[in-house]
Amino acid sequence: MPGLPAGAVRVEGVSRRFRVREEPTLTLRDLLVRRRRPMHEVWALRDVSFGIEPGEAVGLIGRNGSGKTTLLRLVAGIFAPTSGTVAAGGSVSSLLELGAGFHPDFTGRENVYLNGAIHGLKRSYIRERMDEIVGFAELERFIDLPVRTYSAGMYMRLGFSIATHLQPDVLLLDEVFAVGDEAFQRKCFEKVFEFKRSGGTMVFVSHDAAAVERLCDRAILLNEGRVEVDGPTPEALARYHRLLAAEHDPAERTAGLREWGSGEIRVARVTLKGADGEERQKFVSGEPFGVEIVLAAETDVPAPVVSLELRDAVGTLLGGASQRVEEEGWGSGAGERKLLFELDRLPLAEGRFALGVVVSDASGERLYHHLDAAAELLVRPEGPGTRGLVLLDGRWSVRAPSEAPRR
Amino acid sequence: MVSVYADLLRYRELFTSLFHRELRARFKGSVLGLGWYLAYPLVLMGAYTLVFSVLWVAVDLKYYPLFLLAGLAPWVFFSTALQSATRSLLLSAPLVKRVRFPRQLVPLSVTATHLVTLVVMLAVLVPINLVLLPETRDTFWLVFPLGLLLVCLTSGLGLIVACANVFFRDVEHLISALLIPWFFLTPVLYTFESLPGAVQRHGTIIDFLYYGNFVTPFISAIRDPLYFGRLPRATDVVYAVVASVLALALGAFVFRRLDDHLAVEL
Repeated sequence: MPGLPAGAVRVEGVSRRFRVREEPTLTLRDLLVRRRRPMHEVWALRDVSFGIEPGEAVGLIGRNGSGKTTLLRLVAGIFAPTSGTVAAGGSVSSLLELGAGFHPDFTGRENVYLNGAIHGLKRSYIRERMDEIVGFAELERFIDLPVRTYSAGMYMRLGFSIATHLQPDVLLLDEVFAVGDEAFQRKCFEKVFEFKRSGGTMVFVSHDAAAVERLCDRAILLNEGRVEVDGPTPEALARYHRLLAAEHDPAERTAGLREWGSGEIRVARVTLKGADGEERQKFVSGEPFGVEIVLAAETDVPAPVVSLELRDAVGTLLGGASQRVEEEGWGSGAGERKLLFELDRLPLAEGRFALGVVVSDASGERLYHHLDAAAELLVRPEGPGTRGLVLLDGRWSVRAPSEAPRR
Repeated sequence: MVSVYADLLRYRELFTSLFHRELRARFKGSVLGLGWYLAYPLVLMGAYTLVFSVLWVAVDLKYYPLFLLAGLAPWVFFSTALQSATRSLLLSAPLVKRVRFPRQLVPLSVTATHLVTLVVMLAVLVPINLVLLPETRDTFWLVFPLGLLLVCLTSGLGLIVACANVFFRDVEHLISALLIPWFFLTPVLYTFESLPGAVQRHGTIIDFLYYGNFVTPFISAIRDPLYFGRLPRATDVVYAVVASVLALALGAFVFRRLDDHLAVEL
């Protein structure tokens, strides 16, 4: 749109309707017979208005089906609104699906050119950046192999690498941090931060509240196609949490919130205990360690399954332990129960760790309560040789050379 | 209308990339490669020659195989391009749904890859005709402008069927089913004049078949200079020009109307 500065996005009074047929595709017979197929209308967005200034990073949050992706696609220009106007200044690059349009029989390199061309880039421009793109995706050894031989992670990494090297004025990201391993995710994050620092506008859709919080100063909460909150990220997230509290859909478990669940059983208290049973948060690696969990049942529910999740400071899952609570011990009726988990030797070396607790029904289908970082612990190494996260609890010994195994 | 096709120039890098993708995709893993483009019309030619010229002398024309190829080359281009174009947008669904780009390039690039077939066939056929049919030496060049008209016709139609197939998945089956009778009603194996007594007895039917089937004037117009060594009939040429412009215009119109719904329907 003329007059809109590069990087600005303007959405005014936008509504988008989808017609949903009961059977997905229309056949010619339907047209010839003129049978009216039942159609229902779904308003994915209703009267949505907001503006984004160049250089802003805005998070779009909301539950599944709240219209986030539709809104992103409208801004990307993939389809037009039913009413209202959407305009974006400058070039828009959308990362709606990593690796969309990869041809399986083509090599990674060929796909980079193809993908670049689809996004409107010149071959020469891509050639200059090829090494950078390949290097970022960590695919140096594989770039000349057909992408059908790639693992899902490699595929995603290449897609992400291409998209972030396009250098658009507006970058649209939809749930892209599910890419690869944690190390690569961190790299993606840095790349996106770099884009933000260089003054690029960013619209970021994610279930991951923590990611939105880190990347975006402002967030828009959509609920049933309407803007519920448009303001500072913490404010929008707080409202989002309240919306989710009423959520029973297991698909929302990925919400990345600190806490969610249906609430029939809640984790009331989690305390960490040392060897002598006293409550504390600081431990020396290798010493006895105990976790006391107090569960509060709101109603009469059968014995649940309780899981512990141990994570490091960055959120990497280091270990988990699950246990079905015995029916006899659980009993019946509402009220509090106390569980104890004990380790003879704490297998952690050094650092800050968090313990999450997940309580679900026996089948795992119904999530009663998920509490991230229910307790935090600080571990200090037992001696100078202990380093890293995990305690390598082994024995050293020295053997005479004659006893060395023969090659 | 113009902008739908002008994007071919503006996005020529993308067009070439898509074109390469289609072309390479078709040849990856095949030993014969480009040879397949020749094999198909040659096999057809062999079979039809055996049936219609050796076993049953239905048409008496000198160098019947060359006559056949002069009609088969444009027909094979038209029919295979139309069929591939029909499915093209559906096959590119992930792309269309996720990325904003001029989507008409998808069916158009598919048509362009079939143009390779046409060019390869002509590259083989024209020199042979020049040697065996000396009368074509003055006229053969007319094949190129006429072929271009056929490409326009096919591009326009390809765009229409590609869009239509997104909304009605029946279209691709309909097209495959139609192409077989369509082939026999198009004078590729014969000319209407060469059918004994047909023109006298069934003049109206023939006129209807000739002008009602918009591929016929193209085939006739191309075959006249390529095989018979004569100028194409003026009516054929005018017809072909009008039909190709109409097809392009209609293609652009349909695409414009449906473009916005493509990503939703896929």
